[in-house]
Amino acid sequence: MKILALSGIIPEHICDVDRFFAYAGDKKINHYCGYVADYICQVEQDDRYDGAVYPKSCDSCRVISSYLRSDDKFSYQFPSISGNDENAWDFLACVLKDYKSALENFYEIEISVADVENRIEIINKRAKELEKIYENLENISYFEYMTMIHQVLSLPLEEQVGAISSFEINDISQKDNSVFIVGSTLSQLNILQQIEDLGLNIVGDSLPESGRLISKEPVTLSDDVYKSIAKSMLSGKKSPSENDFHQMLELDMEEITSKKVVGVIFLTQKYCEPYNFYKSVYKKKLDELCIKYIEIEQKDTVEDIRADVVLETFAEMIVRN
Amino acid sequence: MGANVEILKTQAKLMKEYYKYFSKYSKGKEPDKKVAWVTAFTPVEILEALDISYYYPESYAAVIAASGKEQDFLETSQRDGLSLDCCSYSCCIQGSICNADGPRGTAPRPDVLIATNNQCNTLPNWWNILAERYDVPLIVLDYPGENVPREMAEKYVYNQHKKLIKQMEELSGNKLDMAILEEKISNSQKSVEAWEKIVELMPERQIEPTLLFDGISFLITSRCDEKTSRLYELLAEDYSENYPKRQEGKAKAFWLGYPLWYHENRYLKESLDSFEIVGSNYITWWSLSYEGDDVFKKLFSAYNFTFLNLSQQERTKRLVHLIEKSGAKCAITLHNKSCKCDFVSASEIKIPQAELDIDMIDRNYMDMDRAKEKIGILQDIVG
Ligand code: SF4
Ligand code: SF4
Repeated sequence: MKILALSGIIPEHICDVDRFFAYAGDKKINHYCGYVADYICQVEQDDRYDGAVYPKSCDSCRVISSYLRSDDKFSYQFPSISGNDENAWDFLACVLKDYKSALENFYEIEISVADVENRIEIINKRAKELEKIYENLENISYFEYMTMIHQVLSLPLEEQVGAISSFEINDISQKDNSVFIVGSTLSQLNILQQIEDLGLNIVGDSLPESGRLISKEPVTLSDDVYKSIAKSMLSGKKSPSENDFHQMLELDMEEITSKKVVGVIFLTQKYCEPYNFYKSVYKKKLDELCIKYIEIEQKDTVEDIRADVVLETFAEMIVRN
Repeated sequence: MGANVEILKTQAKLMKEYYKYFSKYSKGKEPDKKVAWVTAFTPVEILEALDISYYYPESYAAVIAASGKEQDFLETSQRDGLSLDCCSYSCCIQGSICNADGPRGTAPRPDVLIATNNQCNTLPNWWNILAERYDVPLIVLDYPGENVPREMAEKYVYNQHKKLIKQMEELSGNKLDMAILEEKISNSQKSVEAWEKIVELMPERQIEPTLLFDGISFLITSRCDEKTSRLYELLAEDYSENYPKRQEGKAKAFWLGYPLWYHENRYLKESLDSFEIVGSNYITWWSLSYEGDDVFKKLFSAYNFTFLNLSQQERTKRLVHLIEKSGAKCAITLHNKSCKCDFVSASEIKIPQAELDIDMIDRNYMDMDRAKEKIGILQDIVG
């Protein structure tokens, strides 16, 4: 059983899923984000995967099931949930149970409550470990931090906590010029190295695999374990596709101002409408706070983003100030 | 009163009621009711029953394009920071709001914004930026469609509808009368039934698609108004009595996708001389089926199973059925740059097609030479 999951919205509490980062796919779907097109390709072409799980949270994701129609592979789409109240938790809890049953039926396995509780414990521990590192971001290399995260998240869950502590992340000397990263899952890490090489210090982010992941409330075990997972999943920083720009802006601006951030780097995928809408209001907020802003758009997950010129200009503006 | 006069009077009345508080006509007068901006598949019966006015930005974007003003607004919205990769409905309205301009002025300021995700996820995202601009409450209603077992979806939607009623009671200061809600739903049902009679006539009578693309606007904006079903009954009578039967000769084609709102005929009439359009799926999108034995079941079945919220299998099934019923032997299939959700709807349709890349708002998007070439090839195929 090897399942490829798209986006941070997919739960890891029920079974192991591999988070999709990048794939050199040859499928290009007009007007769809490259992240989704490459994901579809990997599910279809990479024989290591026998399953796919993805949300219905944006227009590109919405139609994935129109492309993934093979009966040979497990396929499950999580509905989009915008609320964060009793009704939303109950519904998501039912969806989680439905997902578990679908897995059990397809793979002819049994997933017990004890299995799920065990995973919850590891996920809670992992979040704590990552949070400790995140709190110290201004003193360490963000590129190395994210490299660690990507490698850790690619391991089976039970190996992840141990793996975090085995990584060594170097301190950095550059403590000024604090910048903040916003965007969808990062597929190319080299851009982070470019940013650091230009003398910018990345002190925070709201990426799904980092800032958003650790912002989730820990799952508190209760009689209804699925509802507890649901509550945790719907807590914390959201993705723009979860439809609460107001909350997201508030949380980001709070972090940005408290960390004295002077510039924000938006890393997005071409044709990603949630971020296209979100950035239009985000930029206005930053303008009000006199914080510099730059957007770097990737056309797919493997494109080598050489944003040297724009980044250099951005860095110059920041350093000059 | 003659039928034609009644048709014209009813259309004018419905339009007047809808646009009364748009800035061009209101003479600065504020609406006397609370105002909601809603997406095209919002359960407006609830708002009607609570005496709340509601407006559809998407529909207004179509009106803007039809008036020829869209290019200015698209440019303005880009300057305002909205990417032109976003759905052109949103860009067009963003431009109209920034410029405080539009063929009928601008809609009254919203007191609440209500978005649904039963057609796309663009709309709730778009409504989020409106909420930031107007600083008013945003309500997003989730409709899971066919993704989860029906019972599960029904309970989730029921609770959201209950909550919506409570929020709208607070906003309007009115208490919901269930009998009125029943009546509004019944009006919507009747509007749908009457509209369906018109749709059924399209394959057999020489009715221009333009009439239906424009005519459906009342089903969108005024479906709970009892005048709408009366209007459609009269139109159906008029079409069946006064429009000649279709002749053999031209190739029968199905219009698969959005109307081109910027086009004076809403479709490529000038390039389709040797075809006749005998059907369209767009004109069936608001044929909502209010099934069930109580109001909540009816609202669930109407708004959870909208065309763009269905699985690919179900969409294909519906399209195949519509095409067969229309008698079309080929299709003009539109790949709409604005609408990722509809982009794949026709991917499993097997009849010969001219597949055109279009945008329903931006007249500069389509490569007309390429489109003509594809239509020419289709013509050669279907002879
Ligand atoms: S990058 Fe944007 S468009 Fe692509 S899957 Fe993520 S949210 Fe959707
Ligand atoms: S055209 Fe498509 S993307 Fe745009 S609002 Fe309509 S359904 Fe949504």
